Parts: sequence; structure tokens; C-alpha cells
Amino acid sequence: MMLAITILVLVVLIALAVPIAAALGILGLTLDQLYGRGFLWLALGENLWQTSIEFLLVAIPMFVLLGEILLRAGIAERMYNAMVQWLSWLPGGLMHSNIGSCALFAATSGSSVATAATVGTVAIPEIQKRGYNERIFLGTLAAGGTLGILIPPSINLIVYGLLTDTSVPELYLAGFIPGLLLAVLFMVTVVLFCIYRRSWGGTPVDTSWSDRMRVLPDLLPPLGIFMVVVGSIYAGLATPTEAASLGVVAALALAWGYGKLSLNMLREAIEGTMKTTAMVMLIILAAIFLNFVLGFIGLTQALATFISSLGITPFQTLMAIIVFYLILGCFMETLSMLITTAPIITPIIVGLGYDPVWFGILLMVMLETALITPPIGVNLYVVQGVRGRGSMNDIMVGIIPFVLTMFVMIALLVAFPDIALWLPSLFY
Amino acid sequence: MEKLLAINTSVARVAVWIGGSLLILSAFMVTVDVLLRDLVGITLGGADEMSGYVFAISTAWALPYALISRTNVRIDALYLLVGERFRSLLDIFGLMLLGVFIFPLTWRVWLMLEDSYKFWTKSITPLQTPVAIPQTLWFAGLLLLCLTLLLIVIMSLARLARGDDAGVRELSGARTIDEETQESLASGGSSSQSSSHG
Repeated sequence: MMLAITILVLVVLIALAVPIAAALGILGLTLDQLYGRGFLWLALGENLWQTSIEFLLVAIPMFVLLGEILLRAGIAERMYNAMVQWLSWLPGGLMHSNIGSCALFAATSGSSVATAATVGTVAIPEIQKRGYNERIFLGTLAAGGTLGILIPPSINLIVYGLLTDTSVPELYLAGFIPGLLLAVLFMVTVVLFCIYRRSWGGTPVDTSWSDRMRVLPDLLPPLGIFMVVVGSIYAGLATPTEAASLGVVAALALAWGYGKLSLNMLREAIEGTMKTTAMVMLIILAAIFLNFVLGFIGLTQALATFISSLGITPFQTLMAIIVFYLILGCFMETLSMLITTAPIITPIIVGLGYDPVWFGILLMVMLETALITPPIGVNLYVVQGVRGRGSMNDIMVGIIPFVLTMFVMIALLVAFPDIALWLPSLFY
Repeated sequence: MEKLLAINTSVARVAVWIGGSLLILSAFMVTVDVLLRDLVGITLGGADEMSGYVFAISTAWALPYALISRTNVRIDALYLLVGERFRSLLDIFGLMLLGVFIFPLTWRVWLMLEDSYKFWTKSITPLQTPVAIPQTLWFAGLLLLCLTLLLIVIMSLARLARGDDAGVRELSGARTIDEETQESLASGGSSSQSSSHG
């Protein structure tokens, strides 16, 4: 009964396009009145304050700010041109530079929309110039843009860590290899296509070792910032929030070095950062209060009992959950999906004997899939928006091979959990 | 009305700048703290607590601006299928429900703030910060959010009564992905782009 009411209220509110934060908050207040005797709401102020000053969450605005500064320092175009020199010898040419730049840019910015949009702007004019198969080319942009969720420093992993009480540094270690592997799988997909149809790969770019060396300095700053941020966490020198702060300072220095640092630029970066942060934090505040209520009234427990009463094996349950996420991903935006489901689903998964760190990574891959599954795949619309002509269908078709690649990645993670768990096991 | 909104927007914008600048300062503060600790072995302490307060305050101060810029995340799978009039109703309904969450919340925070003043509660850390100070600034942000929300709802209702659906959308409609993309591009992703946008 309790379970039915919870799901009904949530689904109706979300379907009516009520802001997610309001939907979660109202659900929390309602459940508290119905099943918690209106007791928990007395602690609402204190609960929100404690979440608001949580040092781990300070990493969110810092990482967003880091991305905003790098974006405005104009590193995307330099990086793309450098990637062209280094990666375009592969069959499929620039499409590999798309994926490579997305992976590297995602690693430093963490926003999939910004990644797909910025790399897309530089790359899309090349489609006709070099005669690429347009659909696959657009597919690489939309798919590459999703990598930011998985490759550390990912904001989504911080949110997951906070909601499920999982160590963020451990998650960051776990996400590294799967993130690289997924980028490689995307590239393999492109290579396979271009072996099948040589003409899809466009005309090659002239590259030489001297050119590669010449553009290397454009590749080093983003790599350097990545090393500062992720390296200091891996080495145990800094917490994620401290590392993010170091990253902001380094990015400011880089922007200054490029001569792009100005009051105007800072003001824009601040506005962008604070809007995103406020939006994310309002949802997180509501979600944490809801979790507090759900825990108190025993809903998570009820759901776990219900699932075990179905008499299905842990593996079947896991499969059901994966299918659930893939379907949900066709309709829901990723952050809302993460925040509404992770606190409820993760305890069930862990109760079945699966590792929470591993599940966090699996969940990130499923969220990435959600970014590119029609009809509501944000990245598809972003790439179409940048392209600004032609039919949306081109992208919907071009993305299919990459969605399938993600399915392969999910299967690999389920079959070989060590892809995620090996690196953290060396440190912990 | 329109004038009030303009004032509200400027206040919200200034609040965002102040909050964001404080956040950049706290990034420097944390960096110094980390460098001193890892390189020299001196622990200043307190940088994490301070930046927690800065974070809470700057977030709260950014909420009104986020509301005005319609940054709220909404799932628009069904929303996009209905007509313009119905969408306007959903927009206003959504904002009202946001109020159902925000108003009681702000009231609870007010009660907490009263207690913090009455007992002059201090944080259980070496800094022993009287929590009433950061909480007051935090509360100010929430209060501004309530006022902003009220203003936007009233103005949207007025526009709805006039049958001005485009006007409602401009105030409280869900942002489309296209708008977001254009914004990303306007932020100067590539140098050619940034030069054309000044």
C-alpha cells in the first residue's frame, strides 16, 4: 500500500512536468504526514542545513566552475585540432578525434551537454569538407559526449556516493578503466564500420610527427588539469572537494596564460556555475529529506521484502533492474533518474550481494545510455541543435551502433565486474 | 509588476555574483590549505568548514536567479505533447507545487534560526562558529527565493488570465534543449564562436 502510494504520487507529479525538486520534496512531506505522524518534518530545517554545508558536495560547484572556466578559455578547439593530428590515422579519421576530444574534454568539464555542443561546433563543418558518412559522424559526437558521466571527476559519481554512502575516491578509481574502455569500444565500432564501407571514413587528414609534436602543447593543459585533479585524489593527497578546488585554481591560471581571463569572462562563468549548482542542489536537498523519510517509515525495507517474496534469483533481479533503467532512460533526464532511483535501488542490489562501487559504475553506464536513447536523449538534441539543419532522423539512426556498443559495455561489466573493481582493489 | 520583476532580477543577479566570487575565494583558500598540509606539513584547519558555509550561502543566493532563468529540471516527455494552453496551466501548477515545498521549508528554517539565536549554538569544531551567522545569510537566500516565486506565480496567473500563453512560457515555461545548446555555444566553446559573441 505504502509502496503503491509512493510510486503513484511520484509518477503523477513527474509526468505533469512538476519540477523534480518539488516532486521529491512534496512526496517526502506527504509520506511523513501519512506514515511518519508528521514527526520528521520538525527536523526539516536542520536536515537541509546539514546537507547544505556538506563538504563533499562543495565539489559540485567547483567541478562545474572548472568546466565553465576551461570552456571559456577556448581549450576545446585547440584540443580538437591536436586530437586530429594524433588520432585521425585510424580508419574513420576525424570520428576518432571526436571521441578522443569528447573523452578528454568530458574528463575535465563533466557536463555532457557542453561537451557535445563544443566539440560538435568544431567538428560538424568537417563532415562535408571531407565526405564522411554524416549519420555515423553525428553518432560519434552524441555518444562521445556521454563519457563525462563515467570518466572521473564525474559529478554524478559524487551524487551517487553521497546518496548511497559509497566512497567517492573509490568510485573515481573504479570509473577510470570502464570510461577508457568505453571510449575504445566506440572507436572500435567506428573502425568496424569503416572496414565494411571504406567511403564512410572520409578523406584522410595530412599528419606528420613534426605536426604532432607542434600541437602537443595544446593537449597538455587539459591533461595536466586532469592529472592535478584525479591524481591528487588517487595519491591520497586531497579529497575530491580539495582536488576540485585545486582544479579551479589551475584552470584560472591556464585561462590567464591564454589571455582569456577577464572580469566579463569570470562573471559569465559564475552565472553558469551558480545556476547549475542551485538547480542540482535544490533537487539533492529534497532527495535527502525524502531519503530520511523513506528510511524512517521503512519503505526501502518494504521494497526489499517485496522483491525477495517474488522468489527470483539475484541475477534475474539484476537483469530486471537493468531493463528498468534502460526503459526509464528513454523518457527521463539523467540526473533526476539518478537521484530518484539510486537511494532505493542500491540497497536492494547490495542486499543481493553485489558491490555498491561496481553498481555505481554500472549505473553510470546506464545513465550514459539514457543520454542517447530516443525519444528523450538529451545529447541527440544537442548535436542536432549544433548542426542546425537536416532531419533529426539522421542522428536517431546514426546513434544506434553506439547504443548497441553501450549494451556490450553493460554486458561486459556484468560478466567481468573486475573491469571496475580491479583498480580500486589495488588501493583499498 | 514588470518593474518589480526587473528589480528582483537585478538583485538575484548581484546575489549570484557575490556568491560565486566567494566560492572562487574559497577555492583559493582550500588550495592554500592543501598545499600547506601536503608540502609543508602545516594544518590550518577550518578551510573545509568555512567553504561548507560559503557553499550553503552561495547556493541559496543563486536559487532565485535559477528560478528566474527557468533552470528547474522538469521531465517534459508528456508536457511536449499537450497544447499551449494546457502547458501554461502545467507551468503554473508546477511553480505552485514548488511553493508547497519551499514555503514550509523556509518556515522550518526560520524556526531553526530562532533557536540558533536563542541558544547561540556553536559548531562542534575548532572554529566554534556561532551557526546563527551563516544560517542568517542562508535564510536570506531562501526568503528571496520565496518572494521571487510568489512574484512569478502572480505575474504568470495575470498573463494566463489575459490569454497570453507566450508570456507565461517566457516566465515559467520549461527550457528546451535547444535553448540550452545555444547557451552552451554562446559561452564561447570555440574561439570563432566567442569572437562573434563579443
